[in-house]
Amino acid sequence: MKKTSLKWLTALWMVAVLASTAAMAGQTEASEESLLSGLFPSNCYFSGHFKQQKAVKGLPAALSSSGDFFYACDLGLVWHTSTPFSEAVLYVNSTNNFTAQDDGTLSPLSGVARYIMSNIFVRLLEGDTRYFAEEFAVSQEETKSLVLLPESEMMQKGLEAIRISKSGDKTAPVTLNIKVTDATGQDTQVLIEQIKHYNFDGKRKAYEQCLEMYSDKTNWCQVLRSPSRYDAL
Amino acid sequence: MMFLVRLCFVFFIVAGVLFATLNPQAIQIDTNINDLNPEKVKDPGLQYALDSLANDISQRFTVVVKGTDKRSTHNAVNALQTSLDELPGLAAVKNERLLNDYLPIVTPYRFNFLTEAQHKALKNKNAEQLAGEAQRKLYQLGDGVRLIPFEDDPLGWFSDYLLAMSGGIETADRVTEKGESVVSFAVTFTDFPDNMAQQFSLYEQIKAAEQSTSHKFDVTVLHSGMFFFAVDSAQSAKADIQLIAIGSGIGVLVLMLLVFRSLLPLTLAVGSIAAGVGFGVLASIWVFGSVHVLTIVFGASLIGIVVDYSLHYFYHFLSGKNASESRKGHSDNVLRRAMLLSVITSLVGYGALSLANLTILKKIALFSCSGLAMAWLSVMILGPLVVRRPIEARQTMLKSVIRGWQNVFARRPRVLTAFGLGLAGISVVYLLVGSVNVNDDPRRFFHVSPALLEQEQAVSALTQVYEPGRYLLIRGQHPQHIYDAFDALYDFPGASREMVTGISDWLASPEDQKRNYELQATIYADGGALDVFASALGLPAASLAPVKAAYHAAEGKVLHFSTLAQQVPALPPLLSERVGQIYSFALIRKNSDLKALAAAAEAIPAIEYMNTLGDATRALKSQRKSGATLLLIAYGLVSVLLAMWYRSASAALLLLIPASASLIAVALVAASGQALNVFHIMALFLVLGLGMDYVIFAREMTAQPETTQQAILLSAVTSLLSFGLLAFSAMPVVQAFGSIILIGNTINFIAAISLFNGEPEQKE
Repeated sequence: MKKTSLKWLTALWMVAVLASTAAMAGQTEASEESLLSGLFPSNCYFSGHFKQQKAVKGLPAALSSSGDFFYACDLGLVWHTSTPFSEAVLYVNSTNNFTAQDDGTLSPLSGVARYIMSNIFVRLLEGDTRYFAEEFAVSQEETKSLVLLPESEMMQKGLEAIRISKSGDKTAPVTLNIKVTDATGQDTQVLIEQIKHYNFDGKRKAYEQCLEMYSDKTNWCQVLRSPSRYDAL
Repeated sequence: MMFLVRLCFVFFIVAGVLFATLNPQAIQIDTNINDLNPEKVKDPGLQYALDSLANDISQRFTVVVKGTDKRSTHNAVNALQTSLDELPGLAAVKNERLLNDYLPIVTPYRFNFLTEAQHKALKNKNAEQLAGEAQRKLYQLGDGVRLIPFEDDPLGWFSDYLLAMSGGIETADRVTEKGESVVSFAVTFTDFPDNMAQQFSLYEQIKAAEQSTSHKFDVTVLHSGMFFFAVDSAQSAKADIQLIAIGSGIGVLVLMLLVFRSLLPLTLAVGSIAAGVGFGVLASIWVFGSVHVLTIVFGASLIGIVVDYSLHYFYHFLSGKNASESRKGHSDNVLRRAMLLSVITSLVGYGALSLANLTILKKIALFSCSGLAMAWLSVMILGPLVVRRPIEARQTMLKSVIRGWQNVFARRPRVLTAFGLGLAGISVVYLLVGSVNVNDDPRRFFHVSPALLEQEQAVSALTQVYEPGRYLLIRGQHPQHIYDAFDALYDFPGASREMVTGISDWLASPEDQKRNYELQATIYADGGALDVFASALGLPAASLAPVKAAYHAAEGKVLHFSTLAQQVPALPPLLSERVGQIYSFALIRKNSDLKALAAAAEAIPAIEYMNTLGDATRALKSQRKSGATLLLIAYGLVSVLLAMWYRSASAALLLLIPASASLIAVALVAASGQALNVFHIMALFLVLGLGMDYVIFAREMTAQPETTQQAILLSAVTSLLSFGLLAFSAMPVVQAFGSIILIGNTINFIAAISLFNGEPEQKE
């Protein structure tokens, strides 16, 4: 079946599910951006670990997974799940994204996964405060967490809120907690920790760091550096 | 007999007045611009399908909101949608409405749908592999989005199917161009405004809502749709109607007062105009259900024709009032003959318009013929009552005008005749060898305001993804035949499924649905992928029983597009069924290989390539050519009528006057730069009808040439006033019509007043 006519129908649904907005009265985008900039990463190269808990309505227990990641602003993102199974998502840019199986198989990432990686998660790691200020209404809770609320009725049908909080400072390790609550009340919580910053002066160094981290999966870094190599790989 | 005619006349007048008074809402003014397109569909089922499609298109319009700030743009969209929803008869189509309608209909048939990847996976992977992949997706960040609850679609395949069809997040509703945020949405008419006044009122309210949104949110609001063209055309036509009606009305009033110095003759003229126009309106409503706005524009020019009967009647009365009784009786007979022949030739002229295969010309023909007949009847019946009171005409002024004309044109009638015929000959040569510009493109017939056109183009550039006016028509006896034709099209060399959008994009074929259902047995059978998946996640077997039961219950059930379309009104009517025949439309995407699609349509019997603009242009060209042939036939018929009436074959030579007038008019119009079209040809029928009026009166009333000439002069002035005003219309079709008649009828008048008098010194 060709993927055409339902395009606008389902795409809008995806937007409803994945994007989230809503303006707090009286708050300008500039003040929202300043709130976000306090939480979002500002470094161009970093790596870390993550823990994810996903509650799916109908399942008796939350689904837990964990893994590590490497982000380079001029290469992209490797999001590697190690438990309960090994799998990675390679985000290069808005059009080139792949899933990588443990056996080395690469396949293009499409649909919702691509959307969330390109428009929500990677932008968060990029520290794209402007995007979030435009797309989301941002406010701060008493717990210092930032709350992003859907703005339009349509989006509210898919998403209830995104909460982002940061802990740690110059003395204690920094962790970033992202909690996505969908319209049905299901939560997906991602904890980013053990963040390690790098001060590279070029793409090559970042590539070498990628190879070092994923030495047994060199094709991941190769695709990240040169997405056109996907066919060859 | 006369009593019966009078009784009928009174009955029609009283019935018409009562109808218009008691039932004013029945008098509908139609602004459907499709009436300018030729009728060509003979298949009633296809006509029904085309009408449904056209009706659906006319029942909605598109609004585009463009702004530099994304949030403001979306706020503006929400505010504008709310404002439009509050307007009477309008409903903004919010995207969730379509989804809300669509999902509940498709979900019960969810086991019938698969993506290509799912199809491949079911064929190549075992239950364990399928379950493993589904489990992984549950963990994946951003994946596992479910459009229906987990328990109805545990593996998420149906959600994936719907999401995969999206093909990405870039949509026609959210386009960013040059950093600007662009959002478009549709608005449907829940209750289409009945008449021009209501349409204009709604248009003003839409405009006000758009302007308010634009100012408040600093965005640009654009709109596109047939509704706006209809309102624009109606406003343009309204201006024309006012120009022609007021111009003609004042002209006639001034003339009557100048000539008769009394309002009494005016009562007959005004009465006959009111009776004629009123009856024309009622006849149009009776036959077509409404009066088309262009009919009224053309109809307004009837004032100039209708008033002729009153003028001829008064002039006859004035000339005959001093005659002896026997002479008067003879004069009465001559007048009746002239009046009868005059109305017959006018009816032939106007009636010939109905021979054209254009609805609008049929409507004009009906309006004009019924109006002329009633106006003529009113003069013949009411005239004797009006002339009972003394009427005086101020003939000195008219005489001097006529003398002036005759001094210029009638000194040497033979020279004038030779000159006219020579000019006609030159015109023929020019028309044959002069590379005359001809254009049958129906778009040239409309007048569209530049602002509306600019807006339409902007909207088209931002949202239009289909070729305008081109589509494929697919026929079959069964829904599967339509899908089979689509498959044949996709397989045709050079064509591809990306080139078109049709029902196959909304719904799989009945056979594919059945196949997909059977394939999914690998998932839902005992020990299948679903059981493996549940076991891996620690789900109790009982929790999956409902979805398994739903799968088994769905066996053999197929969702048809017709059912889907009924339940989801926002879907376009891409499929229509009538008397066992199914018609389906496939829209052609822009930048597709049109030649390949046309070749595919040629090769596949069930598919027809439709190019509405090209077809309409070809049909109008054919109409222009057949109109010219019909004109020759009309000349032939009138020549026979004249020969029989005057019992002389040479009487047919009288036709040289309107024929020469027509040729010269066409040549002058072409030389002035107008591209000739079917409306120029149709106007020539009226040049014939009006020309014969003058010639017949001049020929019949030779006993009182001065009186006749004065009547002809007044008649010509009123006609030229009406048609002259048509020539200045903003509507190209009206302009074409008016300019031909203005020139042609002027020549008719000069000939009639100059060629039936002998030498000036021999006159009374």
